[in-house]
Amino acid sequence: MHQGRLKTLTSAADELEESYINVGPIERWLSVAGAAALLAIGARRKNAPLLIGGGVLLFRGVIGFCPVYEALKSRRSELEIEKTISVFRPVNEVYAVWRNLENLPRFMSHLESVTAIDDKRSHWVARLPSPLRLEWDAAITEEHENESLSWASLPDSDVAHAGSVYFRSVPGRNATEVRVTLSYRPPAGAAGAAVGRFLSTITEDQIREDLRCFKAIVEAGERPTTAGQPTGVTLH
Amino acid sequence: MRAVCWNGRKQIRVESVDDPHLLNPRDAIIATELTAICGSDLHLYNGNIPTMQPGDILGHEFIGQVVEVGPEVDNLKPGDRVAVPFPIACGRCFYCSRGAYSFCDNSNPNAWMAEKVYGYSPAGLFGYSHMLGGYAGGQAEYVRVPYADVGPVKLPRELSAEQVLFLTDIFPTGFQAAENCRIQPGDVVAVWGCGPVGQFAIRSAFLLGAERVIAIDSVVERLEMARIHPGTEILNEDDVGDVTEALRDLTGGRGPDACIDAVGMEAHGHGLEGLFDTAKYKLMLQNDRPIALRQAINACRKGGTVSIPGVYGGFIDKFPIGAAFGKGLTLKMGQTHVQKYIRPLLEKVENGEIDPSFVVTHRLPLDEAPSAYEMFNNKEDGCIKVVLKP
Repeated sequence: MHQGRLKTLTSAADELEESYINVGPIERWLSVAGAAALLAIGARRKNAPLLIGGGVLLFRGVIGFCPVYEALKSRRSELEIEKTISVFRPVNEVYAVWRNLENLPRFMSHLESVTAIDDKRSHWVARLPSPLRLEWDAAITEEHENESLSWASLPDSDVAHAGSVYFRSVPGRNATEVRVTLSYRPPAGAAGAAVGRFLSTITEDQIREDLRCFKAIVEAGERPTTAGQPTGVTLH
Repeated sequence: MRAVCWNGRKQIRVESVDDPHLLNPRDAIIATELTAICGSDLHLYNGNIPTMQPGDILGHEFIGQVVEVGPEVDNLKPGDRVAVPFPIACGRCFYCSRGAYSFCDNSNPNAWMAEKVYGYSPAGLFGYSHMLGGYAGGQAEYVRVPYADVGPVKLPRELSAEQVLFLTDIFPTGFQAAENCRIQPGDVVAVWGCGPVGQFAIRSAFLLGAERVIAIDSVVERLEMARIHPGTEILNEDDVGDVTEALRDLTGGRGPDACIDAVGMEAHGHGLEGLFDTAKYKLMLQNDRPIALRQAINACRKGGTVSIPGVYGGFIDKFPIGAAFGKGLTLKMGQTHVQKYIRPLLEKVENGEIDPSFVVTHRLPLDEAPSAYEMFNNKEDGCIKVVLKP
C-alpha cells in the first residue's frame, strides 16, 4: 500500500518533468551548438534574424522545451479514427450488439468496461495499467434503429470522447457494412498522465484489429486464438 | 506429449511439449491416430514460407480420436474417430457459407500479417506459419482443433487409417484441382508433378470423366505409381526434352484441354531456364520457382484451363501473361475447401471407387520424423508419401 503510493508519486513526478521537456538529449546539445554558431555569426554581421534564431535554439537547448513540438504534439493527441468492416449478419442483429454499449469492451481493447446507467447514459472505464485510471460518463446523442448510433462523453469529462456507427444492409446479401468513427481528445488545459497513456494506445491498426474481433464474435461466436497452445522448447 | 517441431531450415526435432487444452468454446482435443508429411511441409522444411518460428509444431494431415470437446461442440463426443480438414474455418462467415472454407474470414488470429502480403487474409491452417494463424499442427500426439463443430468428420471404424487419412488434404486437393478443370467428355488433362497431390489429381480427373490423363514428372517411381491407374499416359521430362512439343504430339497438335500444376513453388528446372530461376531464388530475387507453371501455361490449348493446386507463397518472374492472355486461358488456384469435399469423397472411399492408401510408400513412428523429412525432401528410397504413427 505504502509502496504503491510512493510509486504513484514518483511516476507523477516523472510525468511532470516529461511534460515540459520535449526535446531529446542529443538534440538539446545540437541545439546549443547550433545556437552558439548562429549567435556568433549573427553578432559579427549584426543580423537580427540570425540572432533571434540563435536565441530560440539556445532556449530549447538549455530548457529542453520546444513550443513548436508542443503545438504539433497536442494536435497529434486529438484522435479521429474511421474504419469499416462487413459482418455476415442481418443489420438488426449487428445494430443490437452496438446499441448495448456494454458489449464494446468485448472487442475494443482500449476499454475496460462500459456500464449502463440508464437507457441513454453509461459509465466508461479505460483499460490502463494501474495505478493510472481514467473514467467518464457518456450519453447516446442520436439513434436511428438499424441505421446509425452516436454517443459522446458528458461535458467536463477527463477525456472528450465521441463515437458514431453507421449501419448499411448489403443488398442481396445477409450482411451489414459497419462504419465506425471514434474521436478522443484530451480535455482543455493540461492533460494528465492517464489521458496521455490512454490516447497512445488507440491507433488505427488497433481499431482495425478490434473491429476484426467484433466481426469474429458476432459471426463465429468467439475470437480466434492460439494463446496458451503448446510449442517446442527452443534450445539456443 | 511428443510433437514434431520446426527449428529452422532443415532442422526438425521431435520434442516433449505440453499437452494442448481447450482455448475456445468450439474447440476439441483430438488424440492423433495417424498423421502424414505433406509435400507442402517440405516448403517449410526448406525455409521457403515466411513467419515460421522455432518450436512451431508441424503437420496438417491427421486423423484421430476425440478426447475432449468444448461447451459449444454438440456434434462430437469423446471416442469419435474423425478426420480433420487442414484449413481452419468458422463455418459461419460469408466465405464459409458459400463453401469457400479456405477463405474463412475469422479463423486467422494473425490476419493482419497475411493482409500485408496478400491484401486480404485466407483461412488459418494447422502447422503452416504464423502468417496463416500460427496454429500448432497435427504431427503430435494430441491436437487442439478449433471450430470442431464444423471441420472434423466422423469416420467409420471399418476403414483403415491409411484409407481415410488423405481426406484431410491431398485427396480433396487433387479433386478440387481436377474439378477446377471443368472437365468435359473427351477432354485431355495434363498433370505436372506426380507427387501425392498429382496422383490424386490424376485419379480425380478420371473420376470426373476425363478421356485421357497425361502425367509429367522426372522421378521414375512417381511416374510408375501414376501408370498403375489404367489409362494414365506418362511423360518423363528427362526423356522428352521439350514437354510442350511432346504434349502437342500427344494431343493431335491441339494441346491439353486442361493443365494441372501439382508442383508449385519448388519446381526443378532444366537448362538455362532452370539455372536462371535457381540463381534468382538463391539471390532472393524471387522466392518461388514457377517452371512447371510456365510450361503448363504454354502447353495449354486455346481457351483451356490451368489449375494450380501446387503451393505458391510469394513472387515469381517471367510469368507468361502474354500466352495466358493470347489463348484466353482460365487460371484456377488456391488452397482447398476441404470441408466442402470431405463427405462426398469419404463416400467414394466407402463405395470402393478409390482407395487412397495407394500413395503410401513409408510407414514410420512419429519419433523418426526428422529422418523422414530428409528422405522425403531428397526423394530417397522411392519416397512418395510418409505416414507417421504417434
